[in-house]
Amino acid sequence: MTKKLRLQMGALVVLGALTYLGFQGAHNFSNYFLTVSQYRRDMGRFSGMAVRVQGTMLAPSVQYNSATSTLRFRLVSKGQSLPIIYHGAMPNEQFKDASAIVKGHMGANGTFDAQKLEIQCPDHYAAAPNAST
Amino acid sequence: MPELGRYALLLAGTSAFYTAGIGAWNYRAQSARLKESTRGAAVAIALALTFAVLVLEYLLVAGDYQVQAVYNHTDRALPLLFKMGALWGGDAGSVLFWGWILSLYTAFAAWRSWPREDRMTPLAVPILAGLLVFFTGMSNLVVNPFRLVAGNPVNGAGLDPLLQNLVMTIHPPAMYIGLIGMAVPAAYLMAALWTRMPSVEWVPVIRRWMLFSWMFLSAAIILGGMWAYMELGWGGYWEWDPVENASLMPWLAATAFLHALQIEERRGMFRWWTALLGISSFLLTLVGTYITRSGVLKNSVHSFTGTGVGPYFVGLFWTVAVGALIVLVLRRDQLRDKMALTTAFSKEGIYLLINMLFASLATIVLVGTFYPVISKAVLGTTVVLTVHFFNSLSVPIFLVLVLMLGAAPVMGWRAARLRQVVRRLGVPWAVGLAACVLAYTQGFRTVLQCGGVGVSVFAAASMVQEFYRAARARRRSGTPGWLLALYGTVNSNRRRYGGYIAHLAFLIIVLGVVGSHTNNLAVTTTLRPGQQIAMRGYRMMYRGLGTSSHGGYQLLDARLDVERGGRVVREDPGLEFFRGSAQPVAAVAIDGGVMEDLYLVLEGTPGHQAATVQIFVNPMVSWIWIGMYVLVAGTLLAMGAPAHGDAALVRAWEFTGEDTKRRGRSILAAVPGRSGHD
Repeated sequence: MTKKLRLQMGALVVLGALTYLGFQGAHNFSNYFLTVSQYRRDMGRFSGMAVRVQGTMLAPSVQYNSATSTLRFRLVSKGQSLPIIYHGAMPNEQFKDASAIVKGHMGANGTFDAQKLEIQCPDHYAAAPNAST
Repeated sequence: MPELGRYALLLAGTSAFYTAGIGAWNYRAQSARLKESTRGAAVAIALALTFAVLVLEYLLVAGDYQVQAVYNHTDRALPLLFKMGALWGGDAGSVLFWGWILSLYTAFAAWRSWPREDRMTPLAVPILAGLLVFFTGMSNLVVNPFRLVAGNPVNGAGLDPLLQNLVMTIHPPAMYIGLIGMAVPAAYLMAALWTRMPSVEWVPVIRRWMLFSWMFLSAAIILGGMWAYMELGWGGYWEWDPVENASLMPWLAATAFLHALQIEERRGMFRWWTALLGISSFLLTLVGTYITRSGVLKNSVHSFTGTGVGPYFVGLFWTVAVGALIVLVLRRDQLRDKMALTTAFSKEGIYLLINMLFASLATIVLVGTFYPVISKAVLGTTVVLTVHFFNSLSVPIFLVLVLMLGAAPVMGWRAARLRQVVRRLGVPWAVGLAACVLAYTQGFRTVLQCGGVGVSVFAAASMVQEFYRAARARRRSGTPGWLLALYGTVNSNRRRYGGYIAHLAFLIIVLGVVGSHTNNLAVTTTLRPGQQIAMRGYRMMYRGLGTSSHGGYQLLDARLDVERGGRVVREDPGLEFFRGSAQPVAAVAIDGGVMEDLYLVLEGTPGHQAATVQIFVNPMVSWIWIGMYVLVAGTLLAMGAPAHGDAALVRAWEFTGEDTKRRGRSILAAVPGRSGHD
């Protein structure tokens, strides 16, 4: 076996191992990412899975119980809505009517149990929210 | 006033066209007058764009809200510094800013480098001017920052409150200087290949340009983490968000490129690979720009809605990619390897592995970032990869990289001797092992935590050993005192020792990352006035809530007296309420220390003066910031090497065997006035 071939085989082994790890990682550490309307449409398929759902936090629906650190709100998109319960601190960002992503799964009572809540920051390159040109 | 800005943009666009067109045409015509004219036109672009930037800055500071870029991103209450920073806060302003920085690079190359690199620069400048045609075209036709709004507004919409932070004012310019700077080495690489320059001519030029950009990009990435840590209130600094990945990808490619240049310089090997990395570093900056401007990725914590400029950057990406590929194919004879790899157990073998690992990391980050788009196209459903995906793949790769980094200084070129390598690494391994044991007793209990510390300290000890060995050799040759010997060592080869300092900085950052994921604490609690809480050696007494008025916002803060080791400090985590925005932004309170930070966030006020406070104890985060300063210092030192004397010296022991000894002598002989035995 020539040195060049040995080197190429070594490089292939390293790349092969990384590709395998990549596929394994993608399989083990991934979530479906859906809008509220997509999630509602395919509830049967996704109900038992941990998924990420994106929508707008409906301002009037936001209720925070500081005694139990429980946040309840509805996430909406394209006319569909999803009740969410989240245990944790109140989000800091400008969260009412903000775009948000929740990660969790559907609870038995029809409320989505969110383990993680991400409020999406405003787009840095877009105009400030009050701009209306 | 806005008209003046528009005229300046028109002048810049015309000059860019002239520089690109006439400069490229004159490559064949070789007219001395046209050559000087092109040079002047390159400077004219920079002057025109500087004028346009100054006009926009004036409008921002003076508050001319009829101008859209001013109206959209400032208001009367905004402090002066943030008004000035609003230049790059918006879409139109940031495209102008991008073009301006690129024009400064181009003008500098034309003005200063033209006489020095008189074959490459006259071609590199038109290539850069071609990019400027794109950016000035965007500013003139697509996102003109001097466009006016309807009506006669007397106040603006204000700057996003999250961007009103000093670090966020510094971070974008540093990022732009780094990202845009990648265009210069790419342009020089194309020019060098096209003009068939020998690598001994172009490697030092390209390395310097790349080092400069790489330094700014490195600092900007860490400053971005610092901003997230200080401003967002979640206690962390990195979360593999697409916007973070957008800047990391070119950094990884550029780091691989800088190491590939070493092999190109010493051995003339893997030349196709080196050229591809140089181009990829720049192309990945365009990919990053596309991510942040196109709205293609919906899974970011930044809601990039798409500002309309994304498709233009896609066009630029493919134009540059295809153009570069044509040059590489037409000049493939220039990319033929000069030597072959003798054995993988050699310095070039280590460099090759380092290259592969950095390139693999860049690929993983690229594929991982675009996975939602790929999965949507292939599977029909959007799938997002979690933080664990990136961590599980990158952490082992980074550990191997750190290991290689520790081994590389003692490896010989061509074929390293196992016995020699083992002997030279004996002390670093002993130090690393001792650090591992010490770390274990301090709570670094998992394999990754304990192993991470051990491997990083091993690599750091290997670097320090290089300084020690060289200084000791100087002492033996008569230099009085260790400090003088060390100074003489570093000064005699700033490039090598600057590089080692940059490597040490990287290791400090790695230790900071490992430490910040070890024994950290996060607790959320509701406190009533007069209530005390104790944890991790801190005793906190909550005094109550307070309010105060500041420029543009009202502050509600929780006042806590924090005592540790007899030292009492006042910490006021708060919530900032901005005009026109009902919901607050966190004002995080950080009691920073070298070994740990106390990080306090006011989560809410449930009533009766009570405060819900999130308390974090974050170990070793400051190491990451310290590492950034050391990295900048090391890179500056490396760039401070004499312009044409910065070829790295080869030490005699780095070549083994009869044949290589001869080669070692010939290389040393080629560097006048230098001794290779450092």
